[in-house]
Amino acid sequence: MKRTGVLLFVLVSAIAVSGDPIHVIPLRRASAIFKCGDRCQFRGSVPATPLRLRIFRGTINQLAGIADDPRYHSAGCVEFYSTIIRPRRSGGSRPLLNLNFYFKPPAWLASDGSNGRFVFVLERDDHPNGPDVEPRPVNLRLSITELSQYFRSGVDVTVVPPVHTRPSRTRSRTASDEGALAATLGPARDAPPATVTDTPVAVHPTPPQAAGNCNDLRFDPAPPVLFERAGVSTTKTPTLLFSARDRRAR
Amino acid sequence: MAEERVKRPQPLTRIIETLEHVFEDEESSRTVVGRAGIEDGMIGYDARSLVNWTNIVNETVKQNKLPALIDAAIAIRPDLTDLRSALLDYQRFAARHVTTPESVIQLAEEPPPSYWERARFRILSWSVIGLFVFLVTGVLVRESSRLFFDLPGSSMVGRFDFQLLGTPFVFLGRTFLIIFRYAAQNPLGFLLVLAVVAAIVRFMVKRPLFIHRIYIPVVVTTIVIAGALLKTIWYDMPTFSFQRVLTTSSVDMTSFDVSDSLAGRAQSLWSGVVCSRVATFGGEIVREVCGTQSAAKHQQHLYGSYLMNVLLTILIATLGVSAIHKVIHPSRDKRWNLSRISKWLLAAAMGFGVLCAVLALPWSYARTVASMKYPRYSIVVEEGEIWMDHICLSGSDCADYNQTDNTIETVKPEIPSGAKTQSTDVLEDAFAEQLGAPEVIPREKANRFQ
Repeated sequence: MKRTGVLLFVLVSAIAVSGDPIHVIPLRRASAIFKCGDRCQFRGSVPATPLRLRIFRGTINQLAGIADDPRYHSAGCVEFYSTIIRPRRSGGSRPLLNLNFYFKPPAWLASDGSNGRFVFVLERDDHPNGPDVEPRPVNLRLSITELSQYFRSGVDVTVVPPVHTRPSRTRSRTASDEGALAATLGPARDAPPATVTDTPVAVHPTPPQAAGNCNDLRFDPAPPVLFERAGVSTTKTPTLLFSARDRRAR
Repeated sequence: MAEERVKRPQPLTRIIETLEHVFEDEESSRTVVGRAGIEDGMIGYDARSLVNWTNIVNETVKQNKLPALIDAAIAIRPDLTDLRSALLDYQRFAARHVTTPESVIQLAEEPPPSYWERARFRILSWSVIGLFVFLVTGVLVRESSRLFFDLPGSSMVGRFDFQLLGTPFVFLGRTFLIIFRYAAQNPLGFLLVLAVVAAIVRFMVKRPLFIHRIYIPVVVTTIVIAGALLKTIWYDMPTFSFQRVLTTSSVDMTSFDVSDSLAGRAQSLWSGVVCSRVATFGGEIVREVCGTQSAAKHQQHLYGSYLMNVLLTILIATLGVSAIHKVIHPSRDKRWNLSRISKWLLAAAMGFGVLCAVLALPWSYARTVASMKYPRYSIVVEEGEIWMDHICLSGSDCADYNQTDNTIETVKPEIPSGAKTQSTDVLEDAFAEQLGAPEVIPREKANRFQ
């Protein structure tokens, strides 16, 4: 009975996660560097379809390296929690993607207050009317064979702390804060240790029933899109300013 | 051809001024004259010190006994070392211009030196310093604003225009306005401060005995320099870190790069800037940053802090300037007559302290209480209407802030004709936008396996 329940759960999960394929738009950029407090904005010649960004902690090499770790060779899928952001888009051929949030310490820094490192992966959005920020973490199950390609399709984002690093604003978290935080974090407290070098508590070989349990990934065949941090200060002549097409209605 | 009349040279004026300061009463002047061995039958002694010493010096020149007079004065007051250099300067002048008996007579008939004659150097040097401070105030306000808003632009003095000269007037005008607004917000506190200031001024003018005793160069210099440093550290330095406020999450202090030692003070000053604008917005973050106090109360604290800064700056500058003056010029009080090196060293140190205190004020003004109201205009593009904040720091030094794209671009000063315009507080708009942005907390990656 117990075994049947587990199998049913696996089956339902498989149907749930492998329903819609994830279309990944490969990006090209070595690293985008932001300072703490900066608004998260990018510019790139992205397709004119609805888009979303997934954010992971770590670097491309760290995350893609999971696929090469001998300890994980026997795993079928690796499950990640991800944060999904639906950016505001403005402009024409090389639009500005405004993610409408700010890199705030310490959430965006390493636990020791040093640089925060993230990977941003761009995907076509199959739920364009979803919220700007998914309130709960979204599980992503990547096949071990596609994992490396998935992360190498993203860009490294580094968040640099102030020279004098301090804890975040002096607010003391109240009970309601904790609730709000939990809603944002979801099961983060249950999440296993973050670093990939940590030895997992248990590694289960992929059961044959769960072979199709990973998300179906489709990589855009077009050349990678150059994806750059949008600069905040520029010098333009008024003529250029007023003929610019890449303005967005307020 | 008639010879040109010989007028009293500056070194002789310096001698008269020094002697009239030090030997103020008639009795002491008679002692000096007696020791110098000058025939004093023809000297018109006078109760007014300046007239008295003019008459003495004139008669001494006529008798050609100026070196003896200086020797006698220095024998009584060895700290008057400047008299020797003044005498040497005069002797050089006399060798060229006072060569005939007529010229000696002309020199001996000169009236007492006028105020301009005596204070010409002082007036000119303080005017130059005042003009320098005035001009630098304009540059500092502009550059402080440029860094505050992170506007693109030229270097510190790269873009000078005559409208920059108006900035110090705006700074002074706004400061006066803040005095009245603060008085209206907190009349009792304002009256109390006025009473305290009046008491301090009266106390210093009356100068009781114990103040007189400690009123010596080493104490005053220490007070001026320490006061200037403390004032700058407490009121001005914390504001240095307020930068890039439009394009970052500046409503949250952690976006600024503030050292731990200044963090508390910076937080206090910045919350005044933020909360005087957003305290009425409501919401969790606003409550955490601003507490339950109203926007008006936060503004009152901000203005109060700035006015205290102004008050202390005036106090330090007044004390510093009078101490510099006192240390440079000869004094009746022996303790103030220092060696040439010591007096210029102390004057330079106090001058540096006063300049730091004074010039830091416009810098912090530009990022705390300066008006952030700028014109805003709309332009229509294909996607719709967008609004640009048109920030002009001085005549031709303008930039547009597009809040939607979070971009700042240098532009010409003119707003496009026909554009809809309105006046808005650019900082309030930026804070509203920042508070509206969701708080994103990045997910940890997970190592879960199937």
